[in-house]
Order: sequence, then structure tokens, then C-alpha cells
Amino acid sequence: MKLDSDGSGTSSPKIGVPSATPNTTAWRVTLWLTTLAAVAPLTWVMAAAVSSEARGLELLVLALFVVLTTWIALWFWIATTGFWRAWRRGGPVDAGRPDYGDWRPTASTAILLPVYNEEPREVFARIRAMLSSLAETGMAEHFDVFVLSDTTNADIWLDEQWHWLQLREELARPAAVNYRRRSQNLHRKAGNIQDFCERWGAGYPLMVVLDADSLMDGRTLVELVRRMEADPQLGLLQSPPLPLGDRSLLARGQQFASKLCGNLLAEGLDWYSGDGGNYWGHNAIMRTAVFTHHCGLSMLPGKAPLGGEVLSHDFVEAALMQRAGYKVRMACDLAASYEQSPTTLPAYAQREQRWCQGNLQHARLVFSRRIGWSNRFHFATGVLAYTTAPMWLAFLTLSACAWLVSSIGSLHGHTFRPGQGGGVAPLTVFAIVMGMLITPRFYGAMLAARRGELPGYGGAMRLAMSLVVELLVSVLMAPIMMAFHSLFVISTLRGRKVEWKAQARSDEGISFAQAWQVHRGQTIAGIVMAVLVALLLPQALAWLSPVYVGLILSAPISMALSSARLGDWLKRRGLLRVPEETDRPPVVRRFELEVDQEERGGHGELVPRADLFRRLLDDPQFLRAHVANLRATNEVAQAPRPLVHDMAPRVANNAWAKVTNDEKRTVLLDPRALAALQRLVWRKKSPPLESTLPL
Amino acid sequence: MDSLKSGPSVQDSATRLKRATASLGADAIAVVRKNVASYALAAGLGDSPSADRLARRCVDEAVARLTAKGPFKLAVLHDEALKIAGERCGIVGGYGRNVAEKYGQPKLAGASVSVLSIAAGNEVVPCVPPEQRRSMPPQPLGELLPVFDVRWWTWQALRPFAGLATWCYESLAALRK
Repeated sequence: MKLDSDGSGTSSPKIGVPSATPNTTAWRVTLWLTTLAAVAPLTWVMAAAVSSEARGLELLVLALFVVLTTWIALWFWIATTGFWRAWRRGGPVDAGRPDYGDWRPTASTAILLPVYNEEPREVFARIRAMLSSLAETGMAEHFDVFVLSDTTNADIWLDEQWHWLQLREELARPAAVNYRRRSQNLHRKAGNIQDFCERWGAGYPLMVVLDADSLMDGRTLVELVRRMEADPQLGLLQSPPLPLGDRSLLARGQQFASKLCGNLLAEGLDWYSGDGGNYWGHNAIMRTAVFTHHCGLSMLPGKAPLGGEVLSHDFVEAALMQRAGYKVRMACDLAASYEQSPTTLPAYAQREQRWCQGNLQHARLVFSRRIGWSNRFHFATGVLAYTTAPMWLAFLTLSACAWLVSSIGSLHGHTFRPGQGGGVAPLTVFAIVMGMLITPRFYGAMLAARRGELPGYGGAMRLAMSLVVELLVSVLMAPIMMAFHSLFVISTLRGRKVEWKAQARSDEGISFAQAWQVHRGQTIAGIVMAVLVALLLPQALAWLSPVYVGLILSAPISMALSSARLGDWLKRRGLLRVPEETDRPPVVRRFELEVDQEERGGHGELVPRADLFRRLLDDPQFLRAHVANLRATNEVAQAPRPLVHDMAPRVANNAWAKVTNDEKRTVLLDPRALAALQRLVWRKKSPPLESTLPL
Repeated sequence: MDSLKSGPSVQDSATRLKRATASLGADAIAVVRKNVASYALAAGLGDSPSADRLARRCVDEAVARLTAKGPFKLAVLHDEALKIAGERCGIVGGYGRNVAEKYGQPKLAGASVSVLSIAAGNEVVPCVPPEQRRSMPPQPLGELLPVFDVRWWTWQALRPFAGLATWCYESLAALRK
């Protein structure tokens, strides 16, 4: 491996950047040939089983079968490649504790945290945890955090500032944490990052992009910087994040599956992609100047949702980075990079809808000649991840129709050519396909054993039981997600968005009423399907039972998956456990401590969020900081005088609850209006005086 | 205030204050002063004596400003005094030092300097570093496939389904024969 010296003459330690996959094209071709070699015999077996009377329908079914099986087989071989690569690498996946010797980062790195109406308490607890972790590496002074807020809720905005001010009071270097709030949410998260790049990016050669729920260990952050500095051609390095920390059965299932199989899939994908890897939007480091000059997003021609703003910006930015001649790689050997996943099934589905819309936009980019082949592959897999759902639905429907036609034909005495193997052949095909779906889990278990992680999973027996539980969760979710994805694809193509009413968030799960609101369509569809099958094709009842039973019971299944109590029950029995639970990573432990400490008032005064606007007008120092922020970020805007005059009586009479979010948001941008309201509040503190002048 | 040496005289200021006290009441003005002092303390002005001194000067200046415009009520004086205190403490309109320069007043000596230096010492650390502007131009994505408007009720969308339904019907009819 190549080792580079930095400009000052000191050399990097002997842990180099993993080399790019040699002969990438040859391996890609091999992968595709292997995939087709797996699909061909299965297709032949299925083709041999078709009857002559329903040839047209069954040809359609066969075509869908080819596409769907290719999809499954491709990922099976990617997982197999990843397994082989990870097995050869050996050892645990770890951030490592290398001795960096004299090496230090040559410049500061920006850590970007875009937030949008997130819980500030947790956001700043994460920042504190990461800063503490960086301090332990001795390189904290080379990192500056930027909280880039697009928050639209005025109280949350003030809460963010409050937390930021308190954090800065504690820091020896206040400039370590910066805060900017945009009043115009232009181009969403991509626009948020762009704003940073255009205004402050020139001061930082490297930037790490996180999500509001991201958490990374200091060693991982330092290692990412070291690898970027060691390879000037590396434009972006993605660290695979592990979902961690939530209680619901769904979250624990995802956490377990991601821990078990995520790394080997990432290895396989990295192997396939070579230097044309992908970017997942967070937990990644990139070269700021390259990103700024080459990764600006243009509007897609046509109307939304397939035209207009690029929604899933990360894939496109990776493609643009590679087009500019820079490598995009995945750091599969790095750990201690975490995120949170949705805890309830409706929240998970809502996220899937956003991603579905974003990925379907990429369908047009697959055919663009200005995009590299590797990136086109990423776009195509993103599109197929969602479009396979309506294909599965079509496959099941058309298969049932074909079976029905065949059954009617047999009733009337017509003979058919059932094909060689008769009913046994499809069963074999089904078993092989299921095997391809399940095998990566066994790979993960074998890797866990090789890496000595079995105690972290609770031992071999508990790991096996956890596999069964996770498989059950997947089977229960499959028909529900098929229905959701099909709905999202069709809605997106029609230019519609599925709207759900805002759900009351609870850490414990969702109620039946909430589940019914989301899943009633699926329940009805399941009942209709069951009735039709029972009437027209009773012999298919057993075959199709996982689908219609899953749909009919979608509401209770959703409640069960979203249940924190059920997740806790499994946790107490050591099921779906991951090593990060058994042996909590330091940065995660630190984060939990910070949240706990904040609740006890350990980080300064706790002010209820609803009281922060009043506090702003009551506290000149808070107002001063707020106004200084507005001026430093050029966000001052004059509020309409009628609005301020309208608000004044409510402020004067302490009717804070009657001041609307929009009013607060507008006034919070106007220092003069805020000063006037503050004077009003202070004048009211002297009751003997006649303060008849409202403003 | 010392600043009045270069402008209106100290004697004029005292006269104006006397007149204001006479019309509005000494107790009322004292309450205003106390309120402004509390405000200055809350703004981080350090200690009560400094806050009291600042409050007196703010009230004096408010009287001076308002007298020039004509008769005024107590509430107006209160508001103006708080406004001046806000400016002096750097809440709005810049820090104490900058405000003094803005109003063309020379640096105040003695206690007034300490008041201003406390206000200036409360200078807020900027929330972001200085900007270093550069642009992020949008990049072309190449020629893309056109987007078709997909609706259920267009004939193009219905035709394949109609064809399939027709074929199914004809197949069933043929089987029954």
C-alpha cells in the first residue's frame, strides 16, 4: 500500500488507504455472468412448467420472474463477494487505535450537522459526545462543528440557540461549535450544505457531513481525515453507519440485520464499485473545494416529482464527484459510525416514500451519457429497490390469473402440457430463491464467529434464535412494504404524494387508531384478495397466505413492530442483541450520559421550550446573542409593523400561548422589533408606572 | 454626563431633568431609573453601582432627547431610557463603544469609561467565522429522458389493460366452447 508524506516531512503511520479493487471491470463482468448463470436454469425450470393454454399470461409472468430473480441473485452474489472479502480481511471491524506518531491534520475539518426541527437536546448531546471523543484523540482543535439549521418552528429555533449558547460557555475554544439558521429553506438539505460551501467552505479543505441523528467516534473522524490527506485523488469517503439505540421491535430488527449483514453487503458493493462508490448523504467526508466546484445540483427538466429539485441529492453528488475525476470509496473497515432508524412502521414508511420519490427521479439519470457506468448502477439499484415491489405484486397477480385460466381449462377437459417436473419444479425454484435471500444472514453469522463477536450477540444459540426472530420480522413486514412501495411508486409516477396526518409521537409505539389510519387500505385489500382467491382459486390459498394474511393483519403487525415494550421484552431475553449493546461504544455511552445530565440541569439552566420566546424578551443577554447571530449570518429582515403592533398587546398581557409560530418566526428576524417588544416587557415590570404606550 | 462638555452644558442637562422631575414626579423617575438599572444588570453589566450610573445617564439622555421634541409622558421617557440602555449595553445597535463613536461622543472618563468597557467586554463571540465567498455552480446532468404525465384516465394508460381484459375474455370464451 502506498504511504504518503505530508508537506512537513512527517510520514503517515503504516496503515494506508485500502487499495482500489484491481481489475474492477473484469470482476463486474464476472459478477454479472455469475448472476445470469444462476438465473438461467431457474428461468428454464419455470418456463418448462408453463401450460400451453395460458401462454400469453405466463410469458408475462416469466418476464417478471427473470427481472425479480436477477435482482435477488445479483445481491446474493454481491453479499457472497463481500463475505469472502471480509473473511479474508479477518479481524473485527473497528475504528482502530493506531499510533499516529507525529502525524496531525494539516488543516481544520468542518463537521456539518444540518438540522430541521430536530430535538435540540439530543443534537447537542451528540455534539458534546463527539467533541469529547475528539478531545481524547488529542486532535480536537482541528475540527469545527457547524450546526446548519433550517428549523421552521420558532420555539425549536430558540431552543437550538439556547443549547448552543450553553455549550459555547463550556468550551475552551468557543469557535469549535458554530451555529447558523437559514430563514429560507432553499433546496432543502442539499441547499443547506451548499450554503455552507459557498460562505465558509473555503476555510475548510475537508468537511464531514452528518445527519442530525448521526454519531461518530473521534477516532473514526480522525481516521477519515487521515485517509483523505493520504490520497489526494480521494474525493469522498463514506463510512457505513450502523443504526443504534432505539427500543422498538422494528428498530432492533433493523439494528440486528444491519450489524449482521450490513458490513458484508458494504464490502461487496465497495468491491463492485471500485473507485465509483456511492454516497449516502451522511457520515461521510469529502473535499470541500471539489464538492463546491463540481457537485452543484441543477434542476431536472419537467415537473415534480420526476422533474424539478433533485430530492435524493447524495447519489447524484457522488456521480458528479466521480465525473470530476475523483474517487468515491466506502470505508468498510471503519466502525463507530452510527445513526438512528425510524422506530415505528408508519415513520419508516414515510421515510421510504421520500426515498422512493428521490430514487425514481434517478431513473432518468441511468440513461444519461454524462454519468459513469458505476454510478448508473447505483441509480438503477436505487430505482429497482422500489419498483420491484409493484413487479412482485404484478407477478403474484398474473401468476394467480394464469393459474385460474389453467384451472378453468382443466375443468373443461382440455389437456395441458404441465412441463417436466410438474409442481415440484416451482417448489425447487422457490426454495432456491428463498435460499438466496436468507444466506447472507448465515454469512453474517459466520463472520461474527470469525471475528470473535459471538459473545456480543449473546452466544451462538441466541444468535441463531435472533436470526429466526429477524427473519420473522422480515416476513411480516414484506407484504406490508410491498403494498407501501407499490403505492408510493404509482403515486409518484402520477405526480401525487401520499399524505398522512401527523402522528402523535410516543416512545412506546403507536395505538390501534394510529395503525388503522395508516393501514386500513392494506387491510381492506388483503380481505378482498383473500375472498377472491377463496372463491376463484382455492388451491392457491396456502401459497398466497403470507401475502393476504400479512395485509389483513397489517395494523396489529404495525403495532407490534412499533412496540418498545416488545422490543424491551426481546432485549431482556437477549434476542436481537448486537455487540454494541453488550459493550456500549464510548461515544454512545457519552451521548447517553449527556442526555441524562441535561435532564438533571447539568448543562446550565433548563428553560421549557414554550417559555423561550418570553425568555428572549426578558433576558437582554439572550437577545443580544440572538441579534448578533442574525447579523453575523446576514439573516436580518424587517417584520411588518402591523404584525408587531398586533402582537404587542398579547406580549404585554403575558398571553404567550396566543402568539403564533409564524408571528414569532417573522419577528425573530427583526432586531428592532424584538428590542421594542423587550422594552414593552421590561416596562411592565414596573407596575406603579402608567405604561400606556404599547410600543 | 461628561459628554455634555462638548455639546449642551451640564447645567442645561440638570435644568431639563429638574423640569422633567417637576412635571412627572421624582418617585416616578426613580422607578424608571431603577427599572433601567435592573435591565442593565440583566444585560451583564457586572455590578449594581455601574448599573445605577448607567441608568442615570440613560435617563438623562432620554430626557435630553425628548425635551428637544416637546412635552412627553412618563411611559415615553421609560421607553426611551430603556432604548438607550439597550444601545449602550450592545443589545441592539452595536456595542457600547461603537454607539459612543456613532453618536459622536468622546470617550467618557472615570466611571463612565468603566461602564462602557464592561459593555464592550460583553462582546458576543460571532456564531460563525467570517465568510469566504465562493460559488457552487449547478452541473449539467446530460440529456435526460422526458417525463410523461401518467394518469389513469388517458387512453394510452388504459389501452394495455383493455387489451389484457379482452384477451382474458376471449380465452375463457374459447375454452367454454
